[in-house]
Amino acid sequence: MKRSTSREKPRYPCGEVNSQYRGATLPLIQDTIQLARSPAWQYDGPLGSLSEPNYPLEDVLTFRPVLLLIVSVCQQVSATEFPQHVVSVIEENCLPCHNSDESNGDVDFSSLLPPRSLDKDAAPELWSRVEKMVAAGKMPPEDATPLDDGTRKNLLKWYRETYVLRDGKQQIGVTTLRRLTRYELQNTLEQLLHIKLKQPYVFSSESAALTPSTIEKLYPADVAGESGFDNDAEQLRNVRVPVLEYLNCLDFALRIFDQDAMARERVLGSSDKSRKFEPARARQILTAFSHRASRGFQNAAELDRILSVCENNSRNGVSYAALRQAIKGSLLSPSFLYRMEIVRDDVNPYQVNARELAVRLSYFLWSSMPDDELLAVGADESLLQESVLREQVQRMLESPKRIALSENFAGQWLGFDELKRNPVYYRGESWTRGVYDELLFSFDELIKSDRSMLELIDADWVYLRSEARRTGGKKHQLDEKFGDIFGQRRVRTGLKLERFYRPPELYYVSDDRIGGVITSAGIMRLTSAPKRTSPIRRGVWLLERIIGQEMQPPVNVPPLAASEKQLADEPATGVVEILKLHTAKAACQTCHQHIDPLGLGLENFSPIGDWRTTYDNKTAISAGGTLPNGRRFDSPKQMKRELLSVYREQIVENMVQRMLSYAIGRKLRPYDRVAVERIKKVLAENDNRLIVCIEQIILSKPFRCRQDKP
Amino acid sequence: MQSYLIPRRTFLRGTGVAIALPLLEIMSPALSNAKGNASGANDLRLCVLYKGCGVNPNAWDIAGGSESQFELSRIMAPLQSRKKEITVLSGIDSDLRANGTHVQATLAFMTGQLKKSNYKQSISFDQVIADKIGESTPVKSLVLRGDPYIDRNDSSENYLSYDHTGDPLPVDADPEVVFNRLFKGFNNSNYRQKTASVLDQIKESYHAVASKASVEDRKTLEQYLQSVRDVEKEIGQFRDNRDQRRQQRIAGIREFTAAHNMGERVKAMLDLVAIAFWTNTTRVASLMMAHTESRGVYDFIGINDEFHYLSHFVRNRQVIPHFDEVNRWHVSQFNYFLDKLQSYREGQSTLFDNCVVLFGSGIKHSDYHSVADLPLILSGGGGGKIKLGRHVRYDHARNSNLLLKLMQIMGVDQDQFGSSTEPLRGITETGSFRTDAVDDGTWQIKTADEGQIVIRGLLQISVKTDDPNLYLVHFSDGSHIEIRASFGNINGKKLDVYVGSVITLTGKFKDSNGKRVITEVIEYEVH
Repeated sequence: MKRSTSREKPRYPCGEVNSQYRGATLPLIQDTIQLARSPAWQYDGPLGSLSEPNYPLEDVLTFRPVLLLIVSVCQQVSATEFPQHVVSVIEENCLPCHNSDESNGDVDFSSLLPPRSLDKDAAPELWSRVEKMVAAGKMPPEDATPLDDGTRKNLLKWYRETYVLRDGKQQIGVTTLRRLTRYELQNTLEQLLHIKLKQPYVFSSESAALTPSTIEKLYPADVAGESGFDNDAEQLRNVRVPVLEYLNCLDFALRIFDQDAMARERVLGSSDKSRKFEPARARQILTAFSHRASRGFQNAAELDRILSVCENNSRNGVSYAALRQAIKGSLLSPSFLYRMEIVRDDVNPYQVNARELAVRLSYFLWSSMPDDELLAVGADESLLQESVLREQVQRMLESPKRIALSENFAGQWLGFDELKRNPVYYRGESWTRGVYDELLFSFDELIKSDRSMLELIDADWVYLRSEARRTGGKKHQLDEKFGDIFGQRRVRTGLKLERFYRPPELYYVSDDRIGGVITSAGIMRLTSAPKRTSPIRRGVWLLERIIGQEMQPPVNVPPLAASEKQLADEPATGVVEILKLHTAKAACQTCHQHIDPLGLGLENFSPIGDWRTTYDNKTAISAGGTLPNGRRFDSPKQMKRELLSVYREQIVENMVQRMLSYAIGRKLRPYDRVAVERIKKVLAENDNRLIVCIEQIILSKPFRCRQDKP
Repeated sequence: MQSYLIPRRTFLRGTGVAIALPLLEIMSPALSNAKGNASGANDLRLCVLYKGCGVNPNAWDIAGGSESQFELSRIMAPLQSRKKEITVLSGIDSDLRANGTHVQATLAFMTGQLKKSNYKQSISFDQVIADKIGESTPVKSLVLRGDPYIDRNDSSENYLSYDHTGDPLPVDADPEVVFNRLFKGFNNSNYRQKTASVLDQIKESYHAVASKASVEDRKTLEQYLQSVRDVEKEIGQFRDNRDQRRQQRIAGIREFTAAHNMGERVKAMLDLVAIAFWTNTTRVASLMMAHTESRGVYDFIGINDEFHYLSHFVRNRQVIPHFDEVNRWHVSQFNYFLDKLQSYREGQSTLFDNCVVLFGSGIKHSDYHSVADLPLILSGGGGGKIKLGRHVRYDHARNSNLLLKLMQIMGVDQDQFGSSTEPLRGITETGSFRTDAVDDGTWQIKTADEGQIVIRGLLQISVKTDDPNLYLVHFSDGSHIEIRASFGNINGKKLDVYVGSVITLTGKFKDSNGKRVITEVIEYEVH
């Protein structure tokens, strides 16, 4: 079982909602204006019980400069010290149960309070949790003295002003320079040089569709950072740049370029390798190329360096070899490997320019460089107009390149890219490719057909690989509007081709078994051991990945990974009994009342996702269960419905957070709740459509802005 | 002597997949332009073979015996024929002492201490050694892994080696890529020159771009520059450490092992380390044979469950034979590596005699995650410095002391590392520090009434195969009492950490067949 990355930090018992953004919705930059406008607005506690202020979209989009009149009702909080009223609350209400002797839930305040430490930065995560518990009314617990209203409000206000806002304003944290990941590098090289580097989606005895591409063999895999994604800027910055491997990739890409007449034609305007280019023409070609390679990041010195090849060859004309060398030169520049942005050395967030926005947009949606059209609207600044921006987003989502969102974002979020990465899951090319693609297409379907994000959980449609198709499903006619995302990859290679791989197809389903990704064969396999299911892994997967709860194996209780099969020496036989036995204790129940029914509800799916009604030993499977709220379900379909009724809000919030985190390349911080709440609000008014979520992320401040200093 | 060859199109197969690397410049053959520069034949080499997930102590621990007279345990069986060439180390604790997790066990194993950051760790001991001796070989050090599993949630579990800034070093997972780097690539002077000029270009444009970056961004870019400098350094080392004998040996490499599965990949990596050592291409290497939370499956030896799953054996006893089998396989790979080292002659001796090889795990009891009494075996002659053929028992010695000692053997002039207190004794000289704790005659049942018992004695884990969760406390009169407590109780009280220590323990007991058995540990004190 996986644990959180911040393992050394104080832990709460598992089962707490992971989000830092739940609980109170707090007034923020625009809220402050609202506050002034409508004195009736009152903050009064946990989420859902307050009237939300409106966030005019144009404000979000353009950040109209406004004069803020912030009335500080709270005492002035110094940057690093705790105000006395906070210290008093902690000392009087928290410390009795959370101290060095009795650290309930592994929380100990004694080491954080004066005189030990006065630094508010000592344990920001802890304070986030404190705020969450207090805002949700979970702390102090029922049997303790409650906080009076004023104290509570002041505590929450202190948190907001200390960790969420800065000087009363929305903040976004320092923007970390982003280096291309391997996935982005491969895409970018393909687009820049008009060559093919990915493995083609062909299927033959010699070349497997799941085989890593040459770039993937030459360049080390990126490792996910705290955000859970491998495009995490902080993680990339902390791991060495594999320079030699990078050079090998460039050599390989240029070798492909050498062999591809069409590519040379497109980049150089001529496929003739023996041709000498006029120096002026060569300058033109290289200027255009380096403009694209640096994604429009202009740098005169850099350009001069690349163009020097033309000066050196001005007499006899510039050869192909010289041009190629100069092309390589521009790929060696940090402005290719890194996504450079103009800086102002500002402590306040400011909007990035149109070019930078275009780059951010294309790496978010395509994991690749902007195409010519996007570069153009970036260059003429029209991208800063909302209508143009919306148009571009729509165009980008209609492009086959949007599959990057599914491959890269959903693949990492739901974990199904492991099917490709890890040979453990390999069960033959057709099976592994098939179950991978089912998930890939399912996520893409939300964009392709403009569906609700919640259809990932429960839907009346499903993508099925050819082996898994049963009678009864009605084949769906593909919506041609968005084009076939795999059209461009289904190409022949030089290898002897035996047959084409047939990707999964969309079916409408009405039975109780499938629909949505939860019951897909890929997820069922990923959450099982090779020969047995693991209801706990499945339950935890749902809670962590879909609902967004951070699960931690609780202290002093057997870890989750092995717990369900504890009982070799117990007479219990069935998996349900074993689990009940294991989780009967009240302490276990805190989490297992959530985990177990979800996991057991999927017992009808074998370790490789096949439908089954009995175990190997012929005992019948009973996949019914009861959720913590007392609602019963008897089939996977009903379970999904119940899941949506109990956890809808968390599921949406989790998806928003994950996607925002991916888009901005970092773990979300307490101050990002401003953006998350806003996006959620718009989503609620728009049927939780994924496309709306994507648009709102693009319109959000963390995505649109840059901050240079802390 | 075995020879190797990499065909121009080497097929590297994973499970059922095959793809050839294209012929890149890095694969151009080494040119024999070497000048005679015979390097010291007896330069020492260090290799660390790490396997995550710990062991089943019942099958690992050596029962009884003395420093020179002892029986290898079941897991160590593959080393039977070379008992005189290994030294088993017992009683060495991880530097995180009692409270281990997978992450911390990995972080501390080669760094000798724990820092509370997922990214920044302190330098690992192999890199201290590489900083010292790595420049006299073309490649400073090798950092490898054989297990395909990478943890996505905790990136720190994926690394063992850290440089002096505390950054993890990238890990090579592809034997073919490693082969090219070691035996092709910069061995070719043309390729060296070309690459060097490419690197010059990067540096030029770096300065042009960095001047427009913010302070923070420049720090990030600086890393790119640093990596460029590292490659330049490696080029320089290939250039400056040309050596006739090395070139001849490389020229003789004629065969390359293709990796079809994890087992073959681990083996290929071991082959590569051995041959890199023999050709003096590098003198420092680490290999993660198994990840600490590996979902790798050892189906190539007929075991179809995930390794990490198998490691939780107390609560799932039917997996024990399989878990032990995988651990035995790891030991057999260690044995294979030692074989390999012995197959290469070096002067009057063999490569083995000039190596220091440490095999082990950062966790001992894989189900309790205890990090005391780590499973460790030392081998290689260490240039005659290491006393082999022994089983040394320590009384809770620190792993960092061992690392410090190995650093000193490798020629590092340093008297402190990580949280070390002194270089470990008993490595270069004989002298077990404890056959068992000293019995002062007070080991006995102190009180026993109302179902509660207080005892003092030596805590041991039973090596009975049929009960992996049986602990014993030995008394002065030669008798003992059994502790048969639940997993949760032993785990909660972290009892396993103190195996081998004298403790005073309070517990609940029952009479069973006229025998007293402790059924629950209430508290204990370690002496």
